[in-house]
Amino acid sequence: MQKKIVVGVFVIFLVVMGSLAVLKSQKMESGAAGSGTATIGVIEVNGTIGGGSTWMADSGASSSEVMEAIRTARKRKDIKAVVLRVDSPGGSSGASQEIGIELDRLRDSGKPVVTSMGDICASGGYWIACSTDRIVANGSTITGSIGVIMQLSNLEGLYEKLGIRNSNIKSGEHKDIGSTDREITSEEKQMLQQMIDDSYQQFLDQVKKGRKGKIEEEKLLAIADGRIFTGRQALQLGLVDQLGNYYDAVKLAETMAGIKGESNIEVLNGTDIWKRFMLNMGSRSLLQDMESLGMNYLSRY
Amino acid sequence: MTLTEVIYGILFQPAATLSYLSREKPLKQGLIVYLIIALFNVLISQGIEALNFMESLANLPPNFIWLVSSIGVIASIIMLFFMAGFLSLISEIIYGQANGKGLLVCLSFAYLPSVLGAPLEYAALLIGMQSAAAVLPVFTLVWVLVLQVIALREALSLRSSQAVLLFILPLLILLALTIAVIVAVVSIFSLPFTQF
Repeated sequence: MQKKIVVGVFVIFLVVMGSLAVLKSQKMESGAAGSGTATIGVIEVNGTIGGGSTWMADSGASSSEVMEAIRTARKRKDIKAVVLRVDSPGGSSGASQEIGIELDRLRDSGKPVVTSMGDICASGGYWIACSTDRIVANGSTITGSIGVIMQLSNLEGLYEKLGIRNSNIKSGEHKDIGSTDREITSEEKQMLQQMIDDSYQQFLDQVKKGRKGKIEEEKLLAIADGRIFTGRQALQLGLVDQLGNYYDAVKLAETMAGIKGESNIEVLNGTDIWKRFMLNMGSRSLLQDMESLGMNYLSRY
Repeated sequence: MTLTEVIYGILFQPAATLSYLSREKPLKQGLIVYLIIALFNVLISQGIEALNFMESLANLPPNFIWLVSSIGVIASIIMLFFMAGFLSLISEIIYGQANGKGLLVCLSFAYLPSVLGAPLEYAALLIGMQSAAAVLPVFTLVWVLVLQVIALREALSLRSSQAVLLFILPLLILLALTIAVIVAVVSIFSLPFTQF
């Protein structure tokens, strides 16, 4: 009997400690730091911005995962403000745009959003930054690149050398637009140019909306030709609000949310180790395969 | 003996209990107990890491620490088998006594007090006793080492002094090998033909 009591106490002690450890470690796994009551949600946008899941792409920011994190930030009451940490050279137009729309909804819910630019926050990265309340950049951050590009390859000569003959059975004249086995026609080129112009106009509208009162339209048009800037140049032009690092952006978010004292910082879309392992193990992505075949006719910011 | 009696015995009557285990050799039970202890220690370590919060750890990908800990558990199980086999072999060579399976069971159960190390450290941290948090794991480590020597003594029917010598022998061999390697490296690099 005595032995059972001793072993029972021993087991109960272990169970209690184990339960406490699980509760504590759950907090750490979610990337939470600090001991405050309010939380600053951090959403990372690392690498090329693309649609779909990162399971399909070797690396980069998946718009669906970033949007999911934004929605989480909007729903959670303990999250008072969000820092969007961007380290991206841009990506596909649609993906950048849908992230921007979700960020607008987050701001409409009353939660301030601050962009913290890392090494690079250009093109599509800058598009999404324009959907935040404030932009903080490092002095040497590469930013700007306001413009749209679509690259097409003509592999006709290569196919001929390899003895490959492609046949296209199509429902309409332009269904194989951007095909790699023939030269693009002038009519098609004109159509694609109109598309690019429209996308560019949308990009301009996004920057005008996001930087309203901070940069004049004429000034913007003069620099919105795809050129890139340092963070310091961008500050002078009004493309960013202030210079500073990630923690300055966190501090700014805390101030904007009216948080006094220390807040918890929680990364809302950290990459799971198993996923990262699988990504590293996996071979080339579908997107890469398409690009290597010259099929990268998705317009990109 | 029931499992409750074995656990109680390991904690309070180790010599008699380990002697019984070396004869009965409940291998499955021993390995399950060892595995549970190892996994439990991993779990508690997560809590300790959370208390001693380090930003560098938070910046690691989620589950990274779990992955490393899991590899640690697998490595410790491999080490357990290696230790039991190696020590039994050395004992057979030196003392003519071998009991690999019995030793494996005894070493598995000798690991039992280590299950207290991490929780006691964690409890001490929770109540703010930093010094106790540093001392208690060392205490349980010494307890496990003593039990491992007793396990060797009981499983291989050795005297206490023989068990101690056998226990430290791998360390002595490792030390001797390290010194030999250092001497060899120093000698090679001090040879004249290495001067250009």
